Amino acid sequence: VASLDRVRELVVREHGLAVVTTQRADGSMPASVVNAGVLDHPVTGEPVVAFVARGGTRKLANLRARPRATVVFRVGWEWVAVEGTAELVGPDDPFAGFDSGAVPKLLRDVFVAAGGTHDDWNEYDRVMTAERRTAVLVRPDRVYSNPG
Amino acid sequence: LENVTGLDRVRELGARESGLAVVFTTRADGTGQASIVNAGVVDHPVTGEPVVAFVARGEVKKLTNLRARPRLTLVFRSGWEWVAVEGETDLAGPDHPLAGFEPRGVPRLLRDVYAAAVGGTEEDWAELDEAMATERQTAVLVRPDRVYSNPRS
Repeated sequence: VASLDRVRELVVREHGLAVVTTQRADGSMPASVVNAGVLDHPVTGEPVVAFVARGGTRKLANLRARPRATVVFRVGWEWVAVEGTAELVGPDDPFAGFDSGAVPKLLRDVFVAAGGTHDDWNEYDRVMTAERRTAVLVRPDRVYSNPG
Repeated sequence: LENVTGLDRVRELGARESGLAVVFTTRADGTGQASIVNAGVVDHPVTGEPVVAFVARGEVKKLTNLRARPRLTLVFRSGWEWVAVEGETDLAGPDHPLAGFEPRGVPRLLRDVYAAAVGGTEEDWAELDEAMATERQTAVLVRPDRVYSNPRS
């Protein structure tokens, strides 16, 4: 049975690269590539699949209107898909129970969970703030992989 | 991306990864179901227009989804580089007659799709005709109406 452990394994092997799809109002599914990883939800503590999205993107607009995403990690033939409700935590997306002053720390944590490293975290914070970056937290309700 | 340029990008990234692509179909509840396929660019067997195609085994969920909601999104990725293709789908296979297409042309079409996706020639794939028929394999043809990539490329 596919699990978040499998996600963690593929994250390490492919720099967290993942294909993510959201939904447009007409039901069609735009896709993009992100760096994603597994971390504990900052409020509930449950493990979630997370990535950072730039402010003002259609992806965020779609997620605000239809808060659900499918995220697929692939290394060669191996893959695992995670689907779930998406929660947004960021400068334009306050989250109940989460101190907005802690957003920069959360964005760092998501970056690290996706396999990222940074020489200058202050610079990282500055860019995240300037781009109004937002954490997208997918609470997994379906995790699956190759039928075989 | 203009579709022609975009399909060149599909060919380029596909060639680096044996045509591996993530495909999203839509369940009845609107959620996106993911799977991995080998896909490539072929000419549509009826209209002649270039389409992105892959082969699906007879009874898989994505075919159930596509019969009811004939539209999907495919993403080809090689490292950081990627290209997405969205479009409406036609099915051509033993259980999915395609208007204007002779059913006996299905084996040849499946071979062409495998050759475009994975490589080799159409003749190379002929030895698998029997297995393809036994598995009720069906060609999924995606007529691209949106082709796009990284914002910065």
